Parts: sequence; C-alpha cells; structure tokens
Amino acid sequence: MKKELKSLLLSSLTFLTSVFSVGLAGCGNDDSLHVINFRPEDKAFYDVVKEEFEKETGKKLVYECVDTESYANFLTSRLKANAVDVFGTEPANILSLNIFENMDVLDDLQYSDGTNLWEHITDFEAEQVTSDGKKYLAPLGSVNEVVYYRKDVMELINPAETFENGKYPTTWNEFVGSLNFFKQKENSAAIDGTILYGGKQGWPASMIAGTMEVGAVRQENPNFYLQLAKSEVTYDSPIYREYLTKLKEVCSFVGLKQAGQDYNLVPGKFAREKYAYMIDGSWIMAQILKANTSAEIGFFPLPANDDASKNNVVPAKSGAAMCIAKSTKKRDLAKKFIEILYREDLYQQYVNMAMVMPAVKGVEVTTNKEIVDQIFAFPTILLVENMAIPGVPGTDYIRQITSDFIVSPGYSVDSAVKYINDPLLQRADNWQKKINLEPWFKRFYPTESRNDW
Amino acid sequence: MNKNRSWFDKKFRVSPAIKPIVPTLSCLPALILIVIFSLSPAILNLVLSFTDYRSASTPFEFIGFQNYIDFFSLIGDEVAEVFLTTIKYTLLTIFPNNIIALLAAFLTTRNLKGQNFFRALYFMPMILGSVVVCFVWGIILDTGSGPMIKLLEKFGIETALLGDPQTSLYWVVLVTVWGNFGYTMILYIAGLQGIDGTQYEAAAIDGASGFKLFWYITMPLLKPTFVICFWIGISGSLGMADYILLTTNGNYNTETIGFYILRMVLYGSGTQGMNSAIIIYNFIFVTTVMLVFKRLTGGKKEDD
Amino acid sequence: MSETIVQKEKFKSMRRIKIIKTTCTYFFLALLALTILYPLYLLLNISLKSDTEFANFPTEFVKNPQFGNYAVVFESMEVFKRFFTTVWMTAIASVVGVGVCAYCAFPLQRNYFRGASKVFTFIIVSMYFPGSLVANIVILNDVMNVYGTPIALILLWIVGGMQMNVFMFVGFLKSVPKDLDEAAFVDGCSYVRYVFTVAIPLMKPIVFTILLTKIIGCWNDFLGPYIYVTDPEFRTLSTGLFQYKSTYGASWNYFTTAIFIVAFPIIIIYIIFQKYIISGMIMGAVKG
Repeated sequence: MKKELKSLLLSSLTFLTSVFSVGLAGCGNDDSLHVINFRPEDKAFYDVVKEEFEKETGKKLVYECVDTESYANFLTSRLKANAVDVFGTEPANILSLNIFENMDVLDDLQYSDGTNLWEHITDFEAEQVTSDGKKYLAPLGSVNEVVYYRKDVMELINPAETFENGKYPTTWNEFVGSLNFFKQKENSAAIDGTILYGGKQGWPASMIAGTMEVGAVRQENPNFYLQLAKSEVTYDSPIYREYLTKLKEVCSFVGLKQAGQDYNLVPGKFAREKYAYMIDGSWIMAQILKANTSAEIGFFPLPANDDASKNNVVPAKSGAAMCIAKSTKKRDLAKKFIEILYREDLYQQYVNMAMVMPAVKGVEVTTNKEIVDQIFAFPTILLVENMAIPGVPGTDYIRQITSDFIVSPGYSVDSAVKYINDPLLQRADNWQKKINLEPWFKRFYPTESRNDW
Repeated sequence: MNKNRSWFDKKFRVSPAIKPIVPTLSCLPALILIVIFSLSPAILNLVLSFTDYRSASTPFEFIGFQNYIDFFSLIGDEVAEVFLTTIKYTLLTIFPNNIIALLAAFLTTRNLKGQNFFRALYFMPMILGSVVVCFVWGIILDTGSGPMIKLLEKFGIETALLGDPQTSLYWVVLVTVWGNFGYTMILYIAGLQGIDGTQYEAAAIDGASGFKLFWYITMPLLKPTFVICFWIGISGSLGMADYILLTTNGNYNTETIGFYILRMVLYGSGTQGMNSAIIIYNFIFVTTVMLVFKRLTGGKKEDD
Repeated sequence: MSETIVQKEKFKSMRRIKIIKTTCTYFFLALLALTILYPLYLLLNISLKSDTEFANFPTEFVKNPQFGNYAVVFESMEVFKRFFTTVWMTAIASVVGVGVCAYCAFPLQRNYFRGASKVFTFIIVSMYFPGSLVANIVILNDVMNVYGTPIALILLWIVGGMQMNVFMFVGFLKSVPKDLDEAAFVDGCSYVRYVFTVAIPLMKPIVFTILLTKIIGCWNDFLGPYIYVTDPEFRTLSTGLFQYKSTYGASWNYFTTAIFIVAFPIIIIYIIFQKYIISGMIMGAVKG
C-alpha cells in the first residue's frame, strides 16, 4: 500500500506542477495587440488593416471575430479577464454599465493629417458616443431603416398618378391606401405578398415599430420622451395611442405565417418573389445585391404622419464602433490601430465594403451602385431604441407589442397601452435608482440631419 | 503482509477508525475539481444574491433577503409562465425521446443485416452538435421557403411553425428529440448488451416468446438504464437553453427556465444580485425535483 | 404422419411470423432513417452551392455543384493546424476526464468509507450548482493563472459533465460483482491495478459511451475555446467553423461545407468505438 500511495502522490504532484508551470510561464503577455470584433462579414477588410498595422509598427495583431449572436458572452468574458486591448461594439452599449466601465476615453485620437479626429466625425455619430462631454467609442458608420419596395410591383398601382411625388407614398393615407391595394392583389394571387417580414428571431419586429415611431410620435411632438421622463405624461396619451393604432394597422398586413420566417433568408426572397414592401435596414444591401436579380428595388421612409413634410426623415443609428479597453497596457498601439482605420483609403474601403453611412465628414459611399448611394440620401434622426431616456422602459416592450399585433390579430390597442404603461407606473422607484446610478443619461434629443454639413 | 488481506476485511475491522486509504483517496481528484469549478461559483452566486451588486465599479451593499422577496412582486408573473412552459417542454421531450430510442436500440440489436449502418445514422445528430442541428432545422422549418411548410400546405394545414405562439413549442420539442435520441439510444444499447443471454434461454424453455419475453424479462432488467436515461432527460430539459436559444430565441412562448436565466444574465436590466437570486431559486427547484426522482426510483442505497 | 404435418404447419407459420417481424423492423428503421437522411441531404445540398445560387434558391436541389467549396474552406480555415491542436486537447481531456470519473466511482459504489453515500449525494447535487462565467474566469485567471492557455480549456473540459459521468459509472458498476474484487485482492492484485486493468474493461460498453460523448462534446465546443484560449496558436476546429456563420445567410454554403469537414473525424471515431460499445459483459471470468 505504501508503494501505491507513493505513486499516487507522485502522479498528482506532477500534474499540479505541470499545470502551474505552464500557467506561470505561458501567461506572460506577448507583444501583440488583441482585437476582438463582431462582424465576420468584415474580416477581409480587417486582414488588410492587419497588414498595414504590422508593416508600420512591426508588432503583431491578433484579430478575432465571432458572429453577432455569440458576441455578448465572448466580450464579457474577455473584458473580465483583461485579455483584450481593442474591442468592437455597438454604440448603444454605452448605456450598458457592464461594458461601459471598460471603455477608455478616446478624446486624443488623431486624424491622418495631424488634427484631432473628432473634428472630422459627423455630429450624428459623435453625439452617440459621447458621455459627460468625453468620447468613449470610435464610430465607424451608421445604418438606417427604411421601407424597401419592388418597382415592378409598384407599377401595378400606377404611382405617377396615385402618389403626390409620383414614386412612392409620402403620407399615411397614401401608405395605407397602397397597402390595401396590394392586399387585394395578393388575395387574387397577382403578387406574392404585401409586406415581407422575417419574424422568427423575434427582434425584426422592432424595425417596424422603429420606422413608424419617427413619423407618429417624434415628428408630432419632439419633446414627448422628455415629458415622459419628467412624468408629465404617460404612455396612455393620445399621441401614443394613435401610434399604436397605426402600428396595429400595418401589422395586420403582415400575416401570422411570416412570424415563422427566418430573417436571414428574407433579403434573397425579396429579390426573388413579388412582394410589395419590406421594412428592413440598410445593412441588407449586400444580400440583395448578391442575389443578382433583375428586379429593381427602391426605398422610402415610412410615412407614419399625415403631413408629408414630416415624413422625410429615416431613423438611423451608429452601427459599429471600436473602443480601447481601460485595462490595456498597450494604449499607444491600440490608438495607432484605430487611427489606421480612419486613413482615407482604408476608411473608404471599409465604407464601400460594409455599405454604411460614413462617420467621417466628406466621405461618400462610392460603390457605383445607384441603389446604395440613394439609400443614404435621406436626412436621419436617431432611432428611438438608441435614445437614452431616463426613467423610461426599454424597447423590449414595443417589440413585444409589435410581435403580438402580428401573431394575435385580437390583441387590442388598449391591452398594448396597458402593457407598456404599467412598468412605467409600477417600477417608478426602480427606474429612479437606475437614473441615480447612471448619471450619463443626458441625451434624448434627436439630432440634426446629415445634410446640414 | 498487507497484500494478502482483502479490502472487505479492512472494512469490517474491529477498529473502524482505520479505513482503507487508497480507495478513499481515489475520490479526491474528482472532488477537488468539483470543489474548485462547481462549488466556488455556487458560493459566489449565493453571496451575490444577498446584495444589489451591479458591476465592479459601482458601490453595492448587502440587502439580505430583499431580492428573494422582491422576486415575487417584480417578476413573479413572468416566471410562472416560464415555469409552466418548462414543465410542458420536459414532459414532451422525455417520452418520445425514450420511446423512440428504446425501439431503435431494441430493433438494432436483433442481429439483422445493416443494423450498424442504422445505428451510425441515428447517432449522426449527436455528432453534428446542437448548433448545427438547430441551423438545419431552422432552414427546414422556415415558413418562407422551407420544405416543411410546403408539405403541410399539401395537407391543407396552415400554420406559422416556429412563429405561432400556440404551436412553436411543439416544433422545438421535435428538434430536441431529433437531436438527442441518438444518445439515449446508445445508452439503451449499452444497457441491453449487459443483459445475460441465459435469462432469455431460461424463459424460452418455460414457453415465453416475443412480446412476453420483452415485457417480463428485458424491461425489468433495463430498469437501471431507464433510471439513468430519465434522469439525464429530466435534468437536461430543466436546464435547457441551447436549443431554445438557437431555434426561436425564446420568442413565441418557448422560454424555459434555463433560457430565461440566460437572457436575464446577458441582457437583463436588473441587478446581478437579483439574477443570482433567480439562479438560487432555480437551483432549489431542480434539486428538489431530482432528489424526489432519486427517492422514487430506488432510494438512497442500492439493494445488493 | 399427422404429427409431421402439424409440425410442418407450425414451422411455416413461425417462418411467416418471422418474415412479418423482419419486414416491420426494417420498415420502422427505414422510416426513422429517412428523417435523419433528409436534413443531412439538405446540408450537403447547401454546401455545394455558390453564393448566388444559395441566395436565389436556398432549398432546391443544387444545379451547379461547386466542389471547390471544400478546397476553399480547407485553406481559409487552416484545417490541418487546427485539427492537430483539437486532437491532442480532446484526447487529454477525454481520457483523463473519463479516468478520473471511473476512478472516483469505485469507493462511492463499494462503500469503502463511512459517508460514501453522502459524498455521492453531494456530487449529484453539485451537478445543479449554478455555474458562472465570471467565477470561472476569476479562478482561472487570478487564482491559477492559466487563463488563455490550453490548460484552462482542458481543465474545464475535464470538469464538464463530470458529475453525470460519475453517476453513470456508479450505476453500471453494480454489474461488476463484488466477488470479483475479492478474488482479485486475494490473488494479491493492488487496488489501482485492479481498477484500471480489470474492472473498467468489464464496463466497456459504458466506458466507451461516455468517452464518445466526451470526445464529441469537446470537439464541438466552440464557445469554450473562444473564451478561454487567447493564444492564436491553439485555435480549435469548431471555432474555425463559426467564422462562416454570419447573419443574413451570407456564407452559409461555406458554413455547411465546414460542418462536414469538422464532423468527419468524429464519424470515424464513432465507427471505431461502436465495436466496443456493443461488446457484452464478460461473465465467464467469475463463473468459470
């Protein structure tokens, strides 16, 4: 038995020492810069950046990217372990305490001509990455949400005569009229459907809600949310009720069956089959172009207001940004990496590849594809779910309401109002605590359109 | 001299203070790993559930049982529905899973030609992994261009498959059973292989055949395997978040407790303290179920 | 004479019943096989499509098979380097993991010390202890300082599912008779040698089942390597798989191709292990 004990002790000792020795030796941080990001589609671009970076600084770059769904886990763990130098994230995460506390201040970034980078960033983007007067993220571009339409299907309604501007509906009445018309066509099997919608993943419902909110709420009363935050109004007010009624009407044209449709397959389907409208974001341009269809596609802002002049803005948000982790020991290298991203030729490459609204003044998307250039020609307003509104429950509620309008035609506007109003009333003190903890909730005014610079 | 004494002697020695050392120590490596990786996170969660901890940079304080009490008023309603869905999901997956697996295991141990091919085929979903399984079924169950909806429409059935709150859970159950019955089948095969052939001979001499043979000989002898398979099935379903996350992302009434916790922890706006309280509640619930199950299926000590 | 006729009739009807049984068996097996084959066919179908073809016709039969997809994925995913890393990490984790569990099951089932059943209950209950990503990272990073190296991942792989494996070993250990223990110890066999050379091979079906499950679990784990291993030299096969799984169906054809490449070695392992999983228990050692 003594022999056995000895061999047991020896084997366990070797195991433990090997574990710790590898640990002590192998965890010495190497010289390379660790970057993590969340869009595998952009990998080709970052390979080019990597070459440039390694050429200039002589240090290695380790770039890892995960698909968007798994990114939350990945980011949290790397941040907790202090094993990342630069990370990409959506600027909306400036409102998420867990991620925000890892962001370093970026006020000193420089542009390629030596001036401060922030003089070259558009106001729309800069505003979304600012907190307490300091900049925490380096924005890379914006995306917006519009109504896509097929021009061949639109011909059926004879737009030159039916619509004021001769191309697409610009008032609520025109829009609903066109929806009814296409619904009739769908019932007689002349076209495949009225509104194409891929609801299986759940979140696409927020796009319908978001595009409608602009015309129905903020263009009617720009201070609505401010009043909401100051408890001067609640969700149970005429303007919001009207918004929900309009939302319910639009949802009635979608149909329960589409709630089970995979969002990822929707762009290809829109290019193939004859659907009249699709409410989606500018980020699917790449997919539509890939389908290589002969159908011509156009888009317009969803006209939720009765007044045509108020329907000319599209909701937009900053899509991706880079941050420097506070715990990094290689801040200069990290700074260099981000500055390289903004170099004229590289940034132009990024904007063309990712098809986003440029964050740098004076840059335009130059893909020579008419459709891409047009989509960014509309003035923008900040998407409601990206607004930091203290004291107001988040977008989950409006997304759930939209989804319920689609799958349960019997869901009434009254129930919806109650659903979104109750948390506001009941959890008032919890929200008060949240405001006290997060005093950087200051921004809740929409920004100017990008056409003003 | 020690070598010649059997370990039974040691066990029943007059002075029970001297226990056989090396066999006892053989639990140690496993126990050490469990203590490091299972116990410490659990203790951390327990401690956090008594605070209102948000993140490393904000101040927090111990608030005692406040989280546990607030649970019922703040999110109690949501959780009740999630709870019911979990139970529905568990029951709906265990029985088809085990029945199909037992049938497949039984039929492929009849010494037919080509049974190895069938076995390998049934095990394929396990080899592919949950992400791939949900990916391919996501395409099949897509109501836009998927084959399933086309098949159903031929029979005149109109449904939104995974998008319909009434039927979504059943399709998730289908995907789960499809993905997991291969593993259960292997367990049943391992169990069936352990049955002594002499039992069958003895019964055949007495005149039993076919179905009687199966019901009175095989089933009782498979009891340990049944226990293990049901155990794995129940505990797996109660904590299941993978399949739900990847098929419907929790929408349309398919949230189970495991998924709910995952969502709260990753995207919730509550404090980490509240999340830990939910986790502790879940732990109490699951442990109770499993201990009840253990008691029902054989008590604490096995009868030798 | 009439006896032979009766016997012959009985024989014929028995044969008929046997034929019916066999046909029914095959029918059921084939039906079940169809439900497995169809999704596999779908995956293969997609993997042979080009980007545009997938965007235009996601689920129809491929018109223009691109076998070159496999070559593209092979190269861009660095299959050989990742394969080697995954193989040795999985091998260590599964063998050590299964060994530790089997070794641990013995005293618990045979009751070698007082309180063995209490320890067993503790292990079962600890299966449901809520884990936590933060706690894992703190332990691996601050306490053990192995975060980022493959050792961290291997440790977590060993611990994953350990309690369930112990439970299963304890269950199947009942069928290894205690008399065998006694016989071995009387003959002078040491405890460790007995466990690893006699008892565990007797449980071959379950040992290989658990080994197989563990290998599959480690091989297909993609989140673990991403989170715990930061060194780019130690990337695994399944993490490479997920660089193709972007949203909007962009490179789903490469994704399905990569799926087949990653699953292929496991299929080979399964075919090899199957022989051991269906081997019966050797009862002759005690009876004879």
